[in-house]
Amino acid sequence: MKRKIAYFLVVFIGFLTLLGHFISYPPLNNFIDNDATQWFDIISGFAAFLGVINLLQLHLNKVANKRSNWKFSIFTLVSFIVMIIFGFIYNGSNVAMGPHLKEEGSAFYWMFHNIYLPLGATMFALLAFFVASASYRAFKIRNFEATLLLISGIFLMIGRVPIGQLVPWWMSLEIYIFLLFAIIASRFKEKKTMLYSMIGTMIFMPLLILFFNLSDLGIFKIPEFQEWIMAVPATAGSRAIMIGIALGTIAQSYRIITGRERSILGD
Amino acid sequence: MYKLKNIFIYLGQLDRRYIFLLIALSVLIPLMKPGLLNIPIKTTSNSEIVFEQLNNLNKGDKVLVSFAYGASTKPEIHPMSIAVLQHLFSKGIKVYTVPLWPEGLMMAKYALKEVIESNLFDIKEHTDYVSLPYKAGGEIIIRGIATDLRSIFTQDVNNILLIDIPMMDGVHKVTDFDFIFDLSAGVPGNAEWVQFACDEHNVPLSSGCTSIMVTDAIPYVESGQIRGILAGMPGAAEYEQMVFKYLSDLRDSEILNENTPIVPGKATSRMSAQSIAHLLMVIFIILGNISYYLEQRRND
Repeated sequence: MKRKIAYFLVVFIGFLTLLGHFISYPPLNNFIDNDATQWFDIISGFAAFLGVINLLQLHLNKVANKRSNWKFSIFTLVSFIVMIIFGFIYNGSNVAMGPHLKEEGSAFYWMFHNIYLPLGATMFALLAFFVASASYRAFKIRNFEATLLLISGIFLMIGRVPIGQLVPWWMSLEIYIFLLFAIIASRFKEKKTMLYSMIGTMIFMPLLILFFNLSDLGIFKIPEFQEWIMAVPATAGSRAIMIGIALGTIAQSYRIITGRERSILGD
Repeated sequence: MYKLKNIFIYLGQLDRRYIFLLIALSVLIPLMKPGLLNIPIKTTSNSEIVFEQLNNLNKGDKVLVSFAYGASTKPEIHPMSIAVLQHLFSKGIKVYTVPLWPEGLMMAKYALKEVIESNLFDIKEHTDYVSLPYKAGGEIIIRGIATDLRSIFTQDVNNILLIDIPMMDGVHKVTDFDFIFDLSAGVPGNAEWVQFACDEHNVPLSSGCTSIMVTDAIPYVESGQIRGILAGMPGAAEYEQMVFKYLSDLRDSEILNENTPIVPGKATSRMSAQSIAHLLMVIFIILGNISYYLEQRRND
């Protein structure tokens, strides 16, 4: 019975919200625009509370049963309790509870400013090290797709920073030629033929570009080329993904509001 | 030749701790000596669009600035928050801040504090800016702001009723704002502002976000639903440059307080570090590929 009521609520509210976007009926529109958002606000408040209880339960169980890495759970619990005390019980400043969260004299502010903030920034900064290490090992010219990824990655990395402006047009051209030969290298039977062809192209092409006065083309300026990558291929890819997600969302929402998808209630 | 090949192959198996050390040095040295590498920062079209959009606003216009980032992304987003606030206050625009992330409340506080402490402008709370508190709900809060802000927020961050704040007169929904500026590092962020508020109600929106978010946001920028975008630290540095020039031109006007120095923001000085780190990563990639190629050949 409990489940049926829950399904009924999901289906009823789902249809109501959907209809609110297609039918111009002020009470319904008012419900969708105002009441429903407040309901969500209240429910999300409770959800946050449930999340807190769940977190406590999880880590207390881990410590009690001495599961793997249980010692870290002690840190989580202690930090959690300390922040709860500074947030709800001990103020440390002259301002009222609530606004004290952003008041410089309060204990909560001190903890946030001196502990949480540097720790958060440190965690994110570690990414730079892992990205560097991963790019060293994983960014390899294995096939055509990997090469495309590599080219885009290099041009974006250099083009997004001021140093990209310092790269002269001929160097960009030489990079293109080098990458072209990296892609077609396997088609050459004779290694020497490939080497001579590459060196010849690397000498001849800049002269040809100079002769036709094409050195100002955007493709030879890394910052402009990276802007093009972002504006055209990246946009096309992102739009395709977005449309795919939107269609998937419609299909999933349809399944939920017609009661076909029951996993949302833990079935 | 054989020795050289071996060196390259050896480099491919280099212990990652050496890579970490090189990256640390490439970031630390330019940060500790900012003048070491002084490369001029060239503005991109997206940053220029953001600047023009905010620059076209008039004195007394209302701008809602959404803070949806936290401690982890502060180094990347915060410089653009400061630059945007400086630009807005220099034009006498009324600023309303709303945190969409729990940490966003503190980020808004830090940004406002930094602008106030710069002493460039005479700004007062409830006269020039209002800080709204954090409410859980993410995109639903955006939806609430779009339709009825007062049903979501009844007080400001200092527990003062919104009806008692003169700056809140006439502010009930998203269309009462002249512009929305989103500073985000995830969800909810610029996409949610487009989907739940600005596009439907035709309110102009610009955004400043982390570099990794740009790919997701760029379709909205290309379609004009987001008017320009400040992309990560480079975007912040570009905006800082434009605001620095703009404020320098205003130096003798009465908008800025006298004898207060105008200094470029932190993103500008951090760009050298990012330039060197990116260059180093590209060198790593090239070395890694040479090593990979030689190793493949040896195995064949």
